[in-house]
Amino acid sequence: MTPAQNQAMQRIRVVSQRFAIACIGLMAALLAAIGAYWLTVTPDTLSRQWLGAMAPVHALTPLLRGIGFSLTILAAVPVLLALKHLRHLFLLYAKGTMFSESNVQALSQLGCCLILFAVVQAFFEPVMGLMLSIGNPPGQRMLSVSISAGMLVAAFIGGVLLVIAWVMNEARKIDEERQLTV
Amino acid sequence: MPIIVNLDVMLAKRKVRSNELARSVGITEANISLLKSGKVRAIRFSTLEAICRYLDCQPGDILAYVADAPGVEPDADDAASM
Repeated sequence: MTPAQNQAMQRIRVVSQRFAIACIGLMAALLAAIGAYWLTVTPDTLSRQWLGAMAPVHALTPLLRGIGFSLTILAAVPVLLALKHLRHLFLLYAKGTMFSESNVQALSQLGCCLILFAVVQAFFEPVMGLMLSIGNPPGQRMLSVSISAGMLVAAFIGGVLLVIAWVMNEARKIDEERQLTV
Repeated sequence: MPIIVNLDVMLAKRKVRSNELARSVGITEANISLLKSGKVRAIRFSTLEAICRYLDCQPGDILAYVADAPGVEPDADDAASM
């Protein structure tokens, strides 16, 4: 490697290490945010956010808060997994491993997690709305199904990452061929 | 692989060590080891020329084709590498 290439590799390693640490921070922040939300949320806020202010949330019992927290954590699992795979990818870059099978696997798993996130979101919102309004009298219960731009973008980016992982796999084979050429 | 590398035989005949060959040919000892063990995917003509010149031999003294040898079926990519 030339000195310029070595310098570039060193910069990639440093930046990748920082991003790997940032991923851990984001995972912790997400869990803390979910916990803080369900500890402090009021019935009015829940009604506005999940029921479109069309039905009230009558009794926000600790049990309901606990169920809401658990459901939100379940819905956040694809995001947490995505951050885990992203961190693994950055750690590989930090070690100087750019085109290995592990890199390809991490990238394709990241793509799968984003697609899974989009699918989970499609179920999460109706379930949350139903859970929050199930204790209401008839006529004030709500089941809403929606497909948001966020879900579509997540699914699209997940698909893009899968294609990029596919291309990277071909690049990996070319790199392997190059390394095993004397 | 059906291509067998007989470099270790030629090195023994010429009484040359792997590290000497590596230095003269301009490749690493690790690559010489890979070559001897037949784990390389391709060899450049320039490398083959340098080895043959140093060992005073022909490419056929180092490389042999054995049809029944276990390994991957040769495909168009492998042929292009040579």
